[in-house]
Amino acid sequence: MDKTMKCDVLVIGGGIAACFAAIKAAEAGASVIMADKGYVGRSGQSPYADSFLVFDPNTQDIEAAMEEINRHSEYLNNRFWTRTVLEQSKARYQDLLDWGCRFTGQPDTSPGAALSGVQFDKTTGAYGEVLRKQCRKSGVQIADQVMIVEFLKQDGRIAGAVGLPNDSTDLVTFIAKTVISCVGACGYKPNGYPALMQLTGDGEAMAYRAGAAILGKEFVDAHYSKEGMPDPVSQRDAGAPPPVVPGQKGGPGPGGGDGGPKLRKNCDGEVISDRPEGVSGYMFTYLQSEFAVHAGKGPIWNRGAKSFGGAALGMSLRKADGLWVADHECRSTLPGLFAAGDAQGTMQNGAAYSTGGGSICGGAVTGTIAAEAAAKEAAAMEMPEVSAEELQRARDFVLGPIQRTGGFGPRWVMELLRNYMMPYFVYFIKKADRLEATLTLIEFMKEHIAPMIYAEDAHELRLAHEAKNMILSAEIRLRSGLFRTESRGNHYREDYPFRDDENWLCWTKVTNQDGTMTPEKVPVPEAWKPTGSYREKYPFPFPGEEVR
Amino acid sequence: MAVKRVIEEKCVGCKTCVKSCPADVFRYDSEKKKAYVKYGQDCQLCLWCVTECPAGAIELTKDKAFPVFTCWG
Repeated sequence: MDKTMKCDVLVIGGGIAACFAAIKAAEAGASVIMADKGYVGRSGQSPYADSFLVFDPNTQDIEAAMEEINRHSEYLNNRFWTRTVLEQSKARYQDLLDWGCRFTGQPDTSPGAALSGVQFDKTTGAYGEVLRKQCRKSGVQIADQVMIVEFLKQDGRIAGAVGLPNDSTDLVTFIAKTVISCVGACGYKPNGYPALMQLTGDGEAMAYRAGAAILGKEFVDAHYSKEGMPDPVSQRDAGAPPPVVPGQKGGPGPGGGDGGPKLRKNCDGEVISDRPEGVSGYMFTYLQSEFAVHAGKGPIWNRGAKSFGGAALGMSLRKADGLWVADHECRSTLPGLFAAGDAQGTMQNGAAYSTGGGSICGGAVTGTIAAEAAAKEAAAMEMPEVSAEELQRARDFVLGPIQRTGGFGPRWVMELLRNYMMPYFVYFIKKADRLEATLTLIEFMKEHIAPMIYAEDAHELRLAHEAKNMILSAEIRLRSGLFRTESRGNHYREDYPFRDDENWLCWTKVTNQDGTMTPEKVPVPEAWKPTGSYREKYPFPFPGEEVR
Repeated sequence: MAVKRVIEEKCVGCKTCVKSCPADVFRYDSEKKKAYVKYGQDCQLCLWCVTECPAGAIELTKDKAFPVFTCWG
């Protein structure tokens, strides 16, 4: 039997941003329900959390840190969010300590310390379990293994959502005064990157359908894994046994980093470095492997094992993609809907990842900010009434695929999508003709295949919605990539292999305008634009850049 | 190395695998009080269940590969 639950603040997701959002909203006096597709504490990317950035503005030079991040981010970082994360990281770290999280060492906040995080201690319990306990302790009601599929709208405002349990088609309706989306990053269930298998763009897809703007989808994540799938974790040697370490809670990190500047090599044994000569600090794009492969210099060897690309297929550069938030309190462009963590396009890292542990810390910081604002907004309003028509519409949408007697199986649709998006010359090394060709195929999938996906039970119904969401995400990604006619950070265009400061010191925002997916530019503030010579501004040369 | 089955004799019925699996592969049989593999084809080889199972009850197979790409399905 279907059921309905009501609360002040509905938090969607179960990772670090969601736990912070739920705990902080509950501490602010709100009644909070947290609904997650997985099991809160072991959900999504949480088990792979590796480190947490701690920065102390009292002992460290925040202006120098900002300058370094701005340059590494290729000037597309949203400086408000970058600075806010630096300023609030220590307080959120203290929260984690207070709640019982343990780390392997002390954070280094001495003057001149590198912008990197303190490692979670996985031998004393996963941090996810600690956060789960803290949620419970704060009075948060947890709905595990319920996939939120569609928002409910009333009078132009998000007023809740409809959820699908993993083992039943008895839907759960959540009515809420405010909703915080903390849904994880988007991936296309790529082989070799287990952290993303649950994360299929559900948050951005539902928000886009409801009218929200989506930011930053052109900046791709280039983690890779090893040859001989299945071997999901690239830090392990090829063929090594599963990551079972007695007494260790929490999975290994997703890996894919260069493991040090001298450990990655092309077919001729030449070192590949994601860090340009003479540049210090935390600067990676990982695109160097893609460039080597494109030039016929594959395979790529990482610590003696053969790598394969696309391990994080579908994912954007961390904190780039997500809902466009127009204010400083994590409000999306849809009234009633907030976004935090990976659900929010904070552009904290701009066009290239620039701080170790910054992604997890960013989730904690934005989760806290969203919670305080959402709880305050909820306190000033009545519980919304959602019309019977709207409830029926959302319900029909969720159950659509299971009411079909046939059509296309969701697993095949996902495989098809992966195979269209997977080639390096679509996803990493972009060019207009190839993007357009792939977009044609993805549009066909959206128009013809997605409406006819069918499901035989609740488990497949989840897969059906995931497949639809991934198709939508792929379309946003391709259109954003086509729109940005330059190269920058983790976005490389073979036909525009240079940074174009005159036209592209902008973010890319995609919205649904009368049924047409429409990208537009959001210029970064004038004061954030860089000065100096091209090479001073951009130490990283792209292949073919000299043509300019 | 994919999940093959839950070894019934070893399973203590704690549901840890059911909760842990991000691909929703396991179900709990409330009569037998044991977990079992229901959607093995969706295993994505993270082996989180193996890491978490307190009883060492998850049996793996080397046979599993990711699905072959087909023209319809």
